[in-house]
Amino acid sequence: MTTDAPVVLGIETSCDETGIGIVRGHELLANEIASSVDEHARFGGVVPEVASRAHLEAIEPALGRACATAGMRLDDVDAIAVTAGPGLVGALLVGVATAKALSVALGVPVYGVNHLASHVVVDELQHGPLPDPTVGLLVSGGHSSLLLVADDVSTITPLGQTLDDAAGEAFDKVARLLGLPFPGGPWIDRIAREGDPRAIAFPRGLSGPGDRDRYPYDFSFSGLKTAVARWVRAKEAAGEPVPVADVAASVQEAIVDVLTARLVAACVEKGVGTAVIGGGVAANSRLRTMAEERCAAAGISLRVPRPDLCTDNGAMVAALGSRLVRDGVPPSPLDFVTTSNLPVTRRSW
Amino acid sequence: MILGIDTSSALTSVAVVDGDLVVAEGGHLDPRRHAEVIGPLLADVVGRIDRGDVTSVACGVGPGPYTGLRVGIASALALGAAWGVPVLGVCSLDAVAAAELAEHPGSPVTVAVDARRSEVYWARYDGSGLRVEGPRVGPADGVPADVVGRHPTGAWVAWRVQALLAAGAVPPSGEVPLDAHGEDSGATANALAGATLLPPRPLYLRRPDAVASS
Repeated sequence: MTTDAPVVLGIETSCDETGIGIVRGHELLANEIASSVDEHARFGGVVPEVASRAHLEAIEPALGRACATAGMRLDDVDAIAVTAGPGLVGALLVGVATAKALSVALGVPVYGVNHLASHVVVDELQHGPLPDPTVGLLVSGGHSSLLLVADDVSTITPLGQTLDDAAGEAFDKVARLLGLPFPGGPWIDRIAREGDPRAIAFPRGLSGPGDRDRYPYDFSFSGLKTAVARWVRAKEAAGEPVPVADVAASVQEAIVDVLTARLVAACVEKGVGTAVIGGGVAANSRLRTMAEERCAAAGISLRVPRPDLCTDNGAMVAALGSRLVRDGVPPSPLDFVTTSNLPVTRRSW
Repeated sequence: MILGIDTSSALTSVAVVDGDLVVAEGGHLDPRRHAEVIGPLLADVVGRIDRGDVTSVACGVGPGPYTGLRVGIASALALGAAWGVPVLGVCSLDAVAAAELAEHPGSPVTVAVDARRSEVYWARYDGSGLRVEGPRVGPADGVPADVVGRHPTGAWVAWRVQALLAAGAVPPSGEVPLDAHGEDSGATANALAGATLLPPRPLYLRRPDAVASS
């Protein structure tokens, strides 16, 4: 194996995307994704058993496509990396079993890696090595976390997280209230462009007196969802039309305001000059704009990977695996465990 | 040589067979740790053979509790992809029936494995080993009395594949004789009678528990 530019195959099956990525060092060679999102739409959210079944159907064809795209054979792979958590356990196990068997069959090491750390490190594929330290904001349908990434990406300290719903989940739930399809985030983003973000002053979670001290970098979005539901019901009860675009724009503003305010506060208070945003919600256009404005005003360099590297994918897993190989980190034991809530402080097992 | 894997019960089982011989075998009994133990089991078994001698990978496709079942099938698919050999499925209950028949020739038998929620997956076989009913999932008290509860093993799965190949069975094409949820239906009965190799996809027998939103 070339330890300065190892070929690493990454496997991601923590939610509803089956991702296989291949990297050589920092270089992205393939990033194949099969999504089961359409199968979940009629249930209004991700159904774990449906996701697990879809992973098993999709994973072997995705392996083949990734090798074809990278122009290599599985024999050419130096190491396997796989998401070991956090995520849906039944879904994770499909990827983990595949990774362990590939490791044995090919005679190469396997790394069970942290999903949240992958979302931060993936930016290295697009923008080069991360400065030390970096603050990561991970926002998706399953996560809303602020992470301090230090010591050459070997120490990951959780600064804060959502106390209830994830940001993407809040978008989905509000979209459902407004009669928009699942997943709701892209719909809210699109419809909000026609609306006034200041039309309705929806609550900003954990912004009350005392919250700033107690929960400096945490989030809460369940109250927002309740406030929107109440507001929409009141309109309907009064026989008035619901101004969908204004509601969408105002909700989006409330979510994005809190996310970016906490991100900038974390950078400033921890003396960190670089921020990375990852996760599916990073595709939200208002989040990107507001984060750019606020980071620029605070003198923080903002890095956001392109959309296909923000949503769950195999390349991010491979990117972290490549990092571990290059840092000389020992591989995971073949009996490493998979659980839904592994601590974020560890980047591999 | 055929490498066989079965994870359709509490037993995670891996074996390599060559004719009547078990060349290497390993197993671990734990209903919740298939994905943890499959790695060391595979490493041990593969470490004792020349991987170039493996001509196909056999896997039990259940029925069985889904999470564990998927571990074995995903592993089999990965081995097949890595080594460039076919991955062939058989009903896991058929493997148990074949093992029983070898010990008690001519005796009809019913095979069952735990399906949780007070239910079992089961199938019934005549004295020649032909599956005459099932696989089905249902309450444990509805199963015929001559039930056998032993765990499907990688070795018996591999032997079933070996026997079917020897009898001229052809590996399944891309066509899958089951619907998307692996449900049994009249059209699939022949494919499921036990005389056919199955694609490496789980026999779920139940749809996912989920309610469509209005």
